[in-house]
Amino acid sequence: MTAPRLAGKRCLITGGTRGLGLAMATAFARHGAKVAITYRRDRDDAERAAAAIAAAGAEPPLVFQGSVADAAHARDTLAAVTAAWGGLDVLVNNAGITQILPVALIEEDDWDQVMDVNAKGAFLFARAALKGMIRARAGHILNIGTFASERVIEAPIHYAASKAALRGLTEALAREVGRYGIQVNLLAPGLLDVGLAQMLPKHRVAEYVRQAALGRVGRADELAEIAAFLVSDGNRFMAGAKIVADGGL
Amino acid sequence: MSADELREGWAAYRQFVNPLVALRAELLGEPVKVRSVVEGQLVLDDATVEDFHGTQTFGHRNPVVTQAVTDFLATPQPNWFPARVNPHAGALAKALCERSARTSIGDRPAYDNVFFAHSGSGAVEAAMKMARAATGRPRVLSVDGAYHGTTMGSCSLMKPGMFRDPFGPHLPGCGALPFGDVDALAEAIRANDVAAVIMEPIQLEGGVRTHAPAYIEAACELTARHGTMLVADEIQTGLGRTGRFLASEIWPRRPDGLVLGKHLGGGLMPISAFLTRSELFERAYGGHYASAEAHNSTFSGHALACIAGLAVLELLTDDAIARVARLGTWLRGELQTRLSRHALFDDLRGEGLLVGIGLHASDHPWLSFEHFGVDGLADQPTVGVIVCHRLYKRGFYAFACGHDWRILRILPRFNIPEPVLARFVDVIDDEVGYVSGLA
Repeated sequence: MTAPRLAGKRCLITGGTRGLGLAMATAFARHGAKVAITYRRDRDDAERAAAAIAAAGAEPPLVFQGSVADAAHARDTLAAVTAAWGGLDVLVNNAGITQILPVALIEEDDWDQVMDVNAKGAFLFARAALKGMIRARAGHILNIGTFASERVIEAPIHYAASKAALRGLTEALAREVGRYGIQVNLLAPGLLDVGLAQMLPKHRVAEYVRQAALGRVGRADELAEIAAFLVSDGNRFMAGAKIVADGGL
Repeated sequence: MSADELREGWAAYRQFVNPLVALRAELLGEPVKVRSVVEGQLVLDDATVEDFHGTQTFGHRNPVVTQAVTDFLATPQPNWFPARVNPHAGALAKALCERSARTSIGDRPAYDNVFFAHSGSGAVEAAMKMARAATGRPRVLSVDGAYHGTTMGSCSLMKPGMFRDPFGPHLPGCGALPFGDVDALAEAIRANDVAAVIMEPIQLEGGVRTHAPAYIEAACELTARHGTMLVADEIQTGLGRTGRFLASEIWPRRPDGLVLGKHLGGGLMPISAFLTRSELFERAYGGHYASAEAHNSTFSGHALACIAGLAVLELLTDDAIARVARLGTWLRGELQTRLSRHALFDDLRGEGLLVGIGLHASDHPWLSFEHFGVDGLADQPTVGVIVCHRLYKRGFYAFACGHDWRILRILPRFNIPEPVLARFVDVIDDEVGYVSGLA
């Protein structure tokens, strides 16, 4: 019997209580990882997620509440994870927000909020995690992007811009820390059965399904499996890569 | 100066003076938008910068010094005299000799002869040449870690490294004594062939290193016994910086030579001075008329520079120097208390308002020059530079020591308002704490 793909890996997933974040957290736990998650507000969601992750793996997850756009939250979370586990092997910058708004209705505050969470949050957590990863000269950082920044499609511009920024961050950071054996990559999902698709008008989802080669939206658990591979020891040569998993749009 | 004039001046500097200096300043975020001065501080578009470099000891464009220079320019007096006998140089030389005789431990007359140069290096050069001429001996020694200047002679006394290595072969007979090693000093000058030992009371660029009293005592005693000139390079420590007029004024023996510079010109005029005894001057240059100007410099002691120097001596009252001592004690106490909490903090050095903040070098790869992509500095610690960079952004312009980049050299102006100094303590506490978190 082969060892689980992520046996013993210490993994932190931001925004890990719902949607794709929760799917990755449970998948990682199932693959033998120690899992920590962060969430912004909903304690009930967090408790449910913790229970699901614990059921999928060998131990309950570490759970932290706060905004990823808060540098102190990033610093304190990494300090707590390091204190508990002695280090971190995998960071998944998954936390993200969007608003389905046309350009005319996007306020300056909306723009800032989306950029703060989706782009700055990833920077803050990556910076906090890298201090230990560079010392260990190993680690994976997986940023969760979106097909919306990779295709010319209708999408809220601040959301698309923030995820495009995340791609830039991924590529530059991969270049900067690759010398330490740290791999930074970006997974850009298409529409899934969780998350953004739930907020879109039905005709937009139908259009997506009509255009996609596979003729359907993706499932969170499918993306979680791809993510599990990307942060595993099986992936030793991807750096600064953008993996678009959108069913062939 | 308008923004356009400043921009054009920068571009010209980059093209015609030193592109790397311009690039470094821009990369490090050094104050590059300074166009004016208000109450001693540099003013940017939307902020002020307190300058801790040490050249502007009474604040930028000090009004007393500025007025003295302006008043002189309003007269029809010549700035330079063809006879080389400049009355203002005479006045400043007399004032310096008289002031240096009045020490914190009583009257100790030591100097009655002065040569004026335009830089610290030039004054050190004068000391080296006089020592050789007066003693007829070939060797001139410094102490390891020294920074006496960048001219060919003074450079020969420099600690090995980027300030010295590219310029060999160096002046014959020059070398460095191991720091703090009395036995090595005794052995080095035993053969009576050493013209001078030149030393800084506190090595600033060497890392704000103070000699142990026993070493000073030995240097005073051994140089006297062997007829070797002892020269105190007080370019950084002199003129009140340590809370005394001269750091060396309390040495068991007044040095045979004294070098002053830096703020002697009040931050406006480039002027330095080598003070010694007339008896030594006579031995070196007094033999005949032809040798009287064997060592000279065209603009030595020109009026404008000396006028500025006299104004500086007016500013250097006993009360002003006492304030330096008092503020220095307060500052060191506060820094010790506040910075001791941070992992990067190593130690505190210096005297008066010459403060060294020692930081531990970080071994974290992401704080290495190699990681930053800077060539040729792989062995240098980055922490001092990083803290300086962050201080710039918070309104304080400080440097790391030239020979030891772990040590921040903090030289506040003597008239710095106390609230500004208190704010600096808060800021550096924040910044050393922040960088400690990265290390």
